[in-house]
Amino acid sequence: MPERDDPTAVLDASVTAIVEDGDVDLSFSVRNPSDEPIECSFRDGQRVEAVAERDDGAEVWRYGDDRMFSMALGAETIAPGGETTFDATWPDPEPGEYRIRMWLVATAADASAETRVSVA
Amino acid sequence: MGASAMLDNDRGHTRRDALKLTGGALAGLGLTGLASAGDADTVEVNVGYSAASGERAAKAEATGVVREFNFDALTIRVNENAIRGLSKRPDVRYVERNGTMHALDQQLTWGVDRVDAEVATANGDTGAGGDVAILDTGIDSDHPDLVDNLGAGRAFVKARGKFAEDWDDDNDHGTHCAGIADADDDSQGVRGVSTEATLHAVKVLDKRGSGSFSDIAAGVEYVADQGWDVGSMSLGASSGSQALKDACSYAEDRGVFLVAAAGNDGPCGDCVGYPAAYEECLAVSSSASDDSLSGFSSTGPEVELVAPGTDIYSTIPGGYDTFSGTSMATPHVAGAAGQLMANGYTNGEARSRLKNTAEDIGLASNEQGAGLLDAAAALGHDSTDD
Repeated sequence: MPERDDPTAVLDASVTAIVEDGDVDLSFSVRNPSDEPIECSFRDGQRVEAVAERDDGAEVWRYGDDRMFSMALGAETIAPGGETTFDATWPDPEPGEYRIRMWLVATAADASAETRVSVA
Repeated sequence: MGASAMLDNDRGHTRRDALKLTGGALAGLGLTGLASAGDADTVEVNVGYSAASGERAAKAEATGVVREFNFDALTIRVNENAIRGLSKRPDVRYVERNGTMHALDQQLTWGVDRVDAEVATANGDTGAGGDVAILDTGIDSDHPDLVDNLGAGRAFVKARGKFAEDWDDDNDHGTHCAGIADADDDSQGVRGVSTEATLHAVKVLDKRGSGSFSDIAAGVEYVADQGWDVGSMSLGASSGSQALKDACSYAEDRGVFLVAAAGNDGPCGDCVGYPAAYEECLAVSSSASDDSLSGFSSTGPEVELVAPGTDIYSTIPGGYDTFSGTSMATPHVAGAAGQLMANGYTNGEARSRLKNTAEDIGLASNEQGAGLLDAAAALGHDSTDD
């Protein structure tokens, strides 16, 4: 495992939100912009967190609040220039305009992104 | 061997131990399980020869001779680049990489050893007749260490990919837990705490190791409706679900012994997750091989037992791997509970018995609960000198 001087590696991230069959399907991609592999360590089976907020900042949904996860430590290594995608689904949201924020829940690696979605 | 993974234990980049290595074709062997001689370019190979000139050629290329057989073969360390030339010689019958065949010898993992499950087995307790459900990512339907113990399966989340069963394991986690609870006792791989209980795969977690409250609750309800003895839940979250709590009550009332992982939020106090924190579930924290509390283990007043969870070697689809987590501690308890219930204990009696016979390893009560799981003592066998 490579040693990194910086305890927290920062990855590039982007998120897309697509409304399909009444659900919002989120796709969160992280990319390693550095020339060293980045090891993302996780406490359990959860890899990402996502929230949906109204324009007044009120949180209306949080991915991890409705789910449980396997309780084994885990890790994913992202190669230099490499990319990994994590999915999450927001089931059956109320119609409206939302800000979606999504981030990696790894220890010692940060990645976050946001987007907007309109649910008809 | 196989015990070096710390956090480095997810799919795709760990050292895995190949299930078995077939001799012969060099190209058929991956890097897994090779006896590396340290130098990246040097490998250990078995060379069979048909004439003394072949033997001499092999020795000439060797950086070291490991073994000379009484038949026409030898094991040497050699630079990888020399293999091709050697294997083309007419006086050389074969060159094969000396894969380490450790997967073919069953090993007693430190966890199964620490809870004295092998003492219970030696005294005839195998879990035969017990039904242990693994509520998880599924179970490999074709694993040689599990297949003889597999009973029914049910998917509340279907396996994604090409699998024989919809409850097959598309992650690794469920198969790992199943092996800890109840891998069979044969000449290969690993053995579980219990060895002849019937394992049931209840797939409630997806390929990523995540599941909805509703799917998990449905899985618990299903276990109860089947009349199975044990529901093992190596899963959790920091917040609960009323539906899951209701399902746990339903199952407990119908005689199911429910055990759940305390969580991996440690070091922390009073941080046991759900469903472990529900009174219907026996919450399990995690220990390391030196009897210390695993650094990742959640603790709290709900913890009733501690069991091995750091660097646990067990089954995964197609092989074996080492994982850490309160997920790994949980099925140690599930396997022991399955044995008790196979012997006629009710779920409540099994829970009391496991706690009353646990070994005090000197941790705080919110860390170890009643103590470390002692499968032999729970089953009435003396393991004090083991």
